[in-house]
Amino acid sequence: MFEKTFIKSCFGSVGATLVSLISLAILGVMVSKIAQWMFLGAVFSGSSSEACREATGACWVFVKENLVFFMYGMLEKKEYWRAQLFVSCAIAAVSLLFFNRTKTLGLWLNFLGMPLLAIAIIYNIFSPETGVDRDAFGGLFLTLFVAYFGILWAFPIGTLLALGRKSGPVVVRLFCIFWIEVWRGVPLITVLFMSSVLVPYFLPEGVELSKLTRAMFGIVCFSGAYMAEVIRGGLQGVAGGQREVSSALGLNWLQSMRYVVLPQAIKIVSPAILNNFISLFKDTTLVAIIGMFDFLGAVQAATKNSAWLGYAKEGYVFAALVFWIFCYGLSKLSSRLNPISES
Amino acid sequence: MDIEFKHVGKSFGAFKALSDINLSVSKGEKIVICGPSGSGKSTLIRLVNQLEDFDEGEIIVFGTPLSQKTKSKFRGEVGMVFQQFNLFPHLTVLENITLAPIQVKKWSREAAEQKARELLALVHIEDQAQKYPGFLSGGQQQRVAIARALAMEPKIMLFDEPTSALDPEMISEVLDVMSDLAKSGMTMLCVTHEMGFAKMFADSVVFMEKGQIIERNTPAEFFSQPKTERAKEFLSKLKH
Amino acid sequence: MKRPRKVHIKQSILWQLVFVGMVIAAASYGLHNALVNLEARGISRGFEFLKVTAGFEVVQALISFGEGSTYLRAFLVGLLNTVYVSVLAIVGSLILGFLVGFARFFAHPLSRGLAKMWIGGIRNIPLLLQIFFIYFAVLQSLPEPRDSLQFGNLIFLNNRGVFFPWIVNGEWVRPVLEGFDFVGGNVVIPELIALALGLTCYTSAFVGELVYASLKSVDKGLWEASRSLGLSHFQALRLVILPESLKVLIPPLTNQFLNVFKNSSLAAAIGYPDLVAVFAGTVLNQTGQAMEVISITMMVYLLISLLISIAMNYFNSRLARVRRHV
Repeated sequence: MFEKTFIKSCFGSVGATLVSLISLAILGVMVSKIAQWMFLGAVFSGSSSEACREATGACWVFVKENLVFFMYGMLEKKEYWRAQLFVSCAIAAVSLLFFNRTKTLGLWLNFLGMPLLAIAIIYNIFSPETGVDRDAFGGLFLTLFVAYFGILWAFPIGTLLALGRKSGPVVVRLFCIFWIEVWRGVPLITVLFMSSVLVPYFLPEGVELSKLTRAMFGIVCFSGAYMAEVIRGGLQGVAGGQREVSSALGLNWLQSMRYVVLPQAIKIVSPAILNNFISLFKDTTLVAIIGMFDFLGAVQAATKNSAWLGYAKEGYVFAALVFWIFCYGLSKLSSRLNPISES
Repeated sequence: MDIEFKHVGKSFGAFKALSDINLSVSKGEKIVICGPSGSGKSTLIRLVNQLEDFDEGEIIVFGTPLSQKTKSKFRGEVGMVFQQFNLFPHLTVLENITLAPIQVKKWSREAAEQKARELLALVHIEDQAQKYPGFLSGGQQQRVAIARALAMEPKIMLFDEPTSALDPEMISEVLDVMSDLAKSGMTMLCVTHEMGFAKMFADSVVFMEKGQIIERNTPAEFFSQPKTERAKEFLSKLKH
Repeated sequence: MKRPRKVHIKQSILWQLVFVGMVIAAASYGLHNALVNLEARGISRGFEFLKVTAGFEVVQALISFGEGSTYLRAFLVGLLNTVYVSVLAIVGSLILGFLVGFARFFAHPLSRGLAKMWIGGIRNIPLLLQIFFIYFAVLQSLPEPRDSLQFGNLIFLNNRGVFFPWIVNGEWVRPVLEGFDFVGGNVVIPELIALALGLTCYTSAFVGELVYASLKSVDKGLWEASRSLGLSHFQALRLVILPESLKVLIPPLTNQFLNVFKNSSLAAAIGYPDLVAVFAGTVLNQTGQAMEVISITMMVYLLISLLISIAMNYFNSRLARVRRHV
């Protein structure tokens, strides 16, 4: 039955047949080229570019040899544990948010525990004599680090901005509108330029922020503004009767927001929040432009390495695959899995 | 005297929603308010728990005149049931009922849940406690809404057309609960067109039109020989 | 009743004043620090620098830009280049996006599958990565000018761009290889190709999804009604479905245009001389006047974004009015 309709809709008419032939041609060329380049003609084993001299396809040795650089940046091998520990803790802390019972604990860990952990093992404040360079952290770890804090802090900031814009007094409302629209109106790259070049000027003498902190500042401002608009959309989606019944029950404004309105608002927009996160995750690549070695920055740097010239394609395809798996996976993540609000 | 309206007026912009309302409700009294749509019935009862502010006159609840300062004082003591139920869709039935007692009255979770189960038994849906509102019928939802309002142990209950959004076969189950409540001696203000309920339980019927109280009468007299022409007309339309 | 409300309002005004005070305090503290820091580093202030001769070259300028041109001129060159690549990418992504959207909409399994692949693939890969790929992995690996790919000895493709004949002083001039590079004719620099192509592909996936969603949003009843009136499938699409779907499509589409405009700033990563690269890059480095340069840059983006939003809202409200009359 299925086959019949399939064949009919592909070759049922002249037009359909034409479209089918074109599609098949595109598919055929694509599949054969990709198969040839990625697998058939590719070189998988070896340890230097020598191994790839005869290759007619991709040189995956390049990726294999540079993998730790892609993952950790310039970090020394004995310090990998810092990145690994941090990422494991972050995954654990985030997953706590998805269960009703552990939600409160999860919030504490994410907003208090993880920043402390970052200060302790990434910024290495407590034992500076070990001499780990905080600017050495890079690669996929840095991408995850920036995206994690970026989206996490976007929640409280975005919520405050959305509430301020929706129901604050005039002055607060104007401020929130201004703040939100400024960040949303400019490209992220100018925000990053601003935070990396301009922010140092606004700090008192003697106070210096690391490159990473400055980039984080820009990204949090940026993602907070976008999150504010997403949450505002959710607030508008909550029925008016809900506010009314909460106050009839004696809940004050704060209580009704916290227990009644915000949970519903966030639930309504959870797909949009997920999309927002995917965008942010992709956008973190822009830190490469201000000279940080995030995942893309590391790949980019590796392709410029004189020992491995000419393998840019392999590097970018690998990076694209990794990003694609992350983003596509997230976009498929059921919108029922919704942190903060339950069920 | 539980509630007293003295020359109360209220406008929405240029529209005069209520004018010169005088009404007193004594403890335990049940009053049914009826009238054509747009006559200000809902606005009248929404003033009692200060969901709306009024512009003129005075409203005295439990001996205290209402003002901005009393805004949060009587909420909870004055329970309200809405036409559209307004249950919290993200909370279970039990959580819907316990939310306000825990947050506002600072009860322990155990005490609040104990109370909630008693109330659910009272409205005959003790077996639905763990469900989300979306899985209940309209009549069940409205009974949960009543239980939720009762959980705050109010002294006055306001009903704003509680059966208007219900399918006909579910109206009686809600009216039964309201009847039980009326028998328990609760002070009740009901905006409703359920004249059967009015005949059985109301101490008096208030007829409103264009923001004014046209007639206040006992149910027996109101339904048999209304004083005003408008009420007569309204009743005859209602019967058809 | 009345008196307490006044008290309420007074209180609220007090809090608002406190809020304003805090914002002003924070801003002036930052500004004070900035003045001190600028002083300490000997960086001049003000917008005088705009009149100073820039003294650098730009690989692509739509208006004349030479040795004696000022920083202001450089700013204009950058801005025009931004607009130029944005317009190219918008047109490109519209064409490609509609193609993808229709392919996804048709009840043809293969075309639908291809379109889905394109949308799902492109959308989940960062734009910067796509631009890098096109620029570094594809265009940079093209042959040197000497070994250019030729098309009829008129058009030459190499790692310096595409060279083609152009009218100079009323005559067609062919590009000719001289030494290591081509002279004469006209050239599209690889930076422009990479940026425009990357933006086009990336945006086309989003436009495609929007086109598909808008076509799907049209009530099935309209299809049935038009078919029962005797319109062909194509006629129904052209005369009824497409106009209807446009109403849904246009607001989010304008949003995509805004995104293209903002995303064109990724130019800085590959050295296409757009506003960010020229002004917030080269000019900033030469003058050191970070505050002025970055605020101008951000303000320009903000202004144009706002203008596009206002135009969009105006258009939407007119559209809404038209719909109500229907």
